[in-house]
Amino acid sequence: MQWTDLDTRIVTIAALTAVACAIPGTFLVLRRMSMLTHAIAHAVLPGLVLAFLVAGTVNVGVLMIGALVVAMLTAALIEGLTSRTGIEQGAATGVVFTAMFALGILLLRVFADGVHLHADCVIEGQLTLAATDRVEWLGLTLPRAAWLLLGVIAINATVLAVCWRPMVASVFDPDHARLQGLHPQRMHQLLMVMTAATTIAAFEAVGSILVVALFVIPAATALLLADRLVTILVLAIAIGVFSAFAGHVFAVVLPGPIAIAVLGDELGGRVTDTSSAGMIAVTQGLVFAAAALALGRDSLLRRRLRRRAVSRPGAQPA
Amino acid sequence: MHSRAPSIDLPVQPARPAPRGNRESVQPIVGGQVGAAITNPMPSDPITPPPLRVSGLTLAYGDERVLDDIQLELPTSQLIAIVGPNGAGKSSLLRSVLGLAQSQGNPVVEFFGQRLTEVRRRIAFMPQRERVDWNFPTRVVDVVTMGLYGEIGWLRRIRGHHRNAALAALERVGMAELATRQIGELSGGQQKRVFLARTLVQGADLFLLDEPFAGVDARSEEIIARELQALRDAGSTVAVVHHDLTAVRRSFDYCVLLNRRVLAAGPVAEVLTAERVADAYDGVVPLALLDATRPETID
Repeated sequence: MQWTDLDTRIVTIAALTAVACAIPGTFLVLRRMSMLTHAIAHAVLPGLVLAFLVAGTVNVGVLMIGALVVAMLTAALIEGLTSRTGIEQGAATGVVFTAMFALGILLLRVFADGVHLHADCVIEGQLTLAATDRVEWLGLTLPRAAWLLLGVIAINATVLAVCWRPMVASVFDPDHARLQGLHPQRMHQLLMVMTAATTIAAFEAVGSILVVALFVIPAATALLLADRLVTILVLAIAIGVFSAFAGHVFAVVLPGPIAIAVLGDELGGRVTDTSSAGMIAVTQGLVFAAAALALGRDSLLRRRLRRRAVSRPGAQPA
Repeated sequence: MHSRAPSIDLPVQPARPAPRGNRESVQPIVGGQVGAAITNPMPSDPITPPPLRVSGLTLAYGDERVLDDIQLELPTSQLIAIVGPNGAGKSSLLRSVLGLAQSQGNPVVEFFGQRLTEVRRRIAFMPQRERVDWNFPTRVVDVVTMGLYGEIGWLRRIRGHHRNAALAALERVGMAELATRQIGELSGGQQKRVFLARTLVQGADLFLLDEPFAGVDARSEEIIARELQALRDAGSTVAVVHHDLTAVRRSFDYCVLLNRRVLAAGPVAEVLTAERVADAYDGVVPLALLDATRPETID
């Protein structure tokens, strides 16, 4: 493939998205709230539409604020439903985000039809588009999305550095954390805000369906590979960055030959590349599969090997 | 010695001062009524407030009252067992005095005469094992160090002496050699001992432990019992939710008999009579418990 400046920008945005998502993602997975980001990414649609209606144009700043407000509302609603009615968190998540998303589609149909605000764009994201929209700042010309993501990363990293201890203690044992004066409830809210802001910054590039992949898969994979939280976090970031690079390369390199092999020269020859965001998620899925099957601390392969070692005749009894 | 009348508001009968030197300090339950009859055999010094004083504490889940107008005062430097049947509200009592469960109304809950937020560091709590995620990626020594987070704060570095304190606490519960193990690899009894070490390292004056003996092996039970006694001997107050009345009779000083209300509180021998226990356990006393209520079968 011919590596161009555009490829560099696409990979940069994807990698920055992965880094930004891995930080709250790791804590969401540990808290067993992985699907919250999926819910937020969908529930913000009415917020985007309303912000658009208020501002009258597709002003990115206003859209971000509208989305952020609705994202926090979503997190609060899910939290409130779970604690007040006692229904299970997954059910509360399902109730809230589907209703909000449907409301968003209705608003879009009624008020904003035919305007430059497409549901497809929200769902799938526009990595290539995001890579072409550049802004110069401090003598550096970077895609606007990259600046935004850098800001989110800086905030996430700062929050984590300052709140590491109360954050970890609150996830492991909220009661104990509370008695130690570590405010687990506030830590939880902080995580919700981080998740909401990061989700919104990320889905412009990768869309509302794939953003959950960036939050969850690297963290879940890292949990299979390492047993200390710092290592898990670093690994999650590394897996995210690797997948961003590899996924984009695969998206450019693989579809052509595969299409020719499957469809023949004439039809397959027209296929050039595929969605980078999609291929990034696929790559992450493959890395996860490798960890679950072979590389992980407690993978299927290792379990099989251990069992064989125990059952081998003449082996020392365990 | 008995310089102070017990400060209890009795819902059924009015509080009255215990007669001086009266060994029969526990009042019988009147007319089958569930009446709190609490007299502190070793009342705290009038200047030193008790480690825990509770008055008018009520906790309900929906319409179900789990705790009903609790009046209680724990004596200082005693090994205290909180006993009662399943659903009596033993765990709820600990959790609500610590503000982990939201109680109704405006109860008085004082630790050492002060509000919880003012004396946080003097109180150590050990939750039930099931309340935390044991697959959490952390090591034994890190969990024990969490007992020091209140002291270390958010940003200060964890220093050598913190680490040593955590290791010393692990040594006391016989877990030092497992300090770098993942917590998920421990047995139930070992997990309890790690939790105990986390409370030990805190160096508290009041220890509230929710079922530290539930589902532990004999060795863990022995170690936990020994350490709790050592804490008491060092002057701390230790209150433990307990199920084994035999063990309570054998090694505890003071007993709170609970079934949604405080039915009795006082020295173990006086609280755990056959009549009281039968009453607390709704007339159904498990065979294993009956032995414990008969003093002559002990020793």
